[in-house]
Amino acid sequence: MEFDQLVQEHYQGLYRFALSLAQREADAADLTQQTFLRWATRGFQLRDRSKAKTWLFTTLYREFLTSNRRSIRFPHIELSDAEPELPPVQERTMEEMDGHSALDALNELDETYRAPLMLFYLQQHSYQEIADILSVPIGTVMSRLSRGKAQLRQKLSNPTSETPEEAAPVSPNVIPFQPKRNSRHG
Amino acid sequence: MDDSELQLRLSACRPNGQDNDDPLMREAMECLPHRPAVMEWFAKEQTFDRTMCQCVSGIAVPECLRAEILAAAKLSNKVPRWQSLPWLAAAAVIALMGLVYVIQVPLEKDATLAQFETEIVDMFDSMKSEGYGLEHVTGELTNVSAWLGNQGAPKPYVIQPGTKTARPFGCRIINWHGQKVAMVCFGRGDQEAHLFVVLRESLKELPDDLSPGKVEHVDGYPIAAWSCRKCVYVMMGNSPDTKLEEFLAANSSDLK
Repeated sequence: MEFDQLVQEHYQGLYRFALSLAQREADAADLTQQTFLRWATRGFQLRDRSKAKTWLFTTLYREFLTSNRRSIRFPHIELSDAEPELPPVQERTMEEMDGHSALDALNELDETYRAPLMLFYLQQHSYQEIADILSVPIGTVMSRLSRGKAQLRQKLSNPTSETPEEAAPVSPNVIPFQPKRNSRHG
Repeated sequence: MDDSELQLRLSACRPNGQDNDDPLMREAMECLPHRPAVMEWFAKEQTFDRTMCQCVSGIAVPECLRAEILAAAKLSNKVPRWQSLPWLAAAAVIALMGLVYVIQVPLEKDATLAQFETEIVDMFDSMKSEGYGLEHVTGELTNVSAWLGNQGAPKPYVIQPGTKTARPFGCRIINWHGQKVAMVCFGRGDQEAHLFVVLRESLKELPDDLSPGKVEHVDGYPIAAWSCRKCVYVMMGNSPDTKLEEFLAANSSDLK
């Protein structure tokens, strides 16, 4: 049966994405259920069944935004804006990384970076699909992934630091991530 | 393409080769042999990403989630084929509006509890074949109450001990003689029961001794009713075989 198959293929990924957004297991389970309910009642509207996966993740993300009743405006950062801010991967981070601290660090990130990173690490979506799900341009997805990973590494290498700005660069070539102050942001 | 743009692009490249055929990524990767520093960075980046992917795939998913999704979907309405045809749907909406206008019975606050129960059972019978059409799916009773409250429907303030340990699937609102009646579906093991909440003022001649411990049968379905200051609660089993007592009693020693 198509619906059973769809659930089997995607419920785990959807739940993990929901958990990264809602940060509460019960809410994540509700969001996942609500998403499949939307499919059960409105899935017929989707003519191209190959897009079911993107449809489900997009729907879950919108459900989350709606349920939070927040009007989030993401700053669209063009590729050229983010170019000088790419930090290198630090050896120390990789050696010390364990599952729990990695997930804790991921959960501490701002939602702007957490959502695309989670979709990326689920490995089920290309950057184009992530752009579709989050309704942002491809360049924005790339810059958020890049900046999000930079924040993640900083949190992992210096977990006591409250903000990325507090972490001292380990090399003069490393430019710490500085979120742009944008009046449109949240 | 300079190093920074190359790095930015490759940051979006999944670590297990899923994007190797993507034109943007392929173009970027073809530059790598000529940029040893970026190549080294990319190798470390991919190692970091692989580790993160492993962490994310290790996030535990509740064991019962899949079963709950499938159970909740069974309770929802399947959209009839005709609704996907716009002109038929439009015609149906117009016809329905006319029908509602003609037959909408103004609220007569003279229905008894017995009439309410009978009509609810009739309504439930037709729902069983068409789907319950849950409007809000959730596994938390607080979310059920919040949603019903937002819709201006009566909320389940007083539920029985056995129901407290059951898991809600979700809820919907039923229009009963122009009154909003809340329907909340619960699952407990392999049993299902449904709670209907109606405003007390909608019913007349309410018995004084409404006790949830008293299970009666209407058209074969087990039914129990109780009331609080403002609302009347009717709980019915999903089938004649449902052990409704399990949703009412605190433990097995309380079962009669």
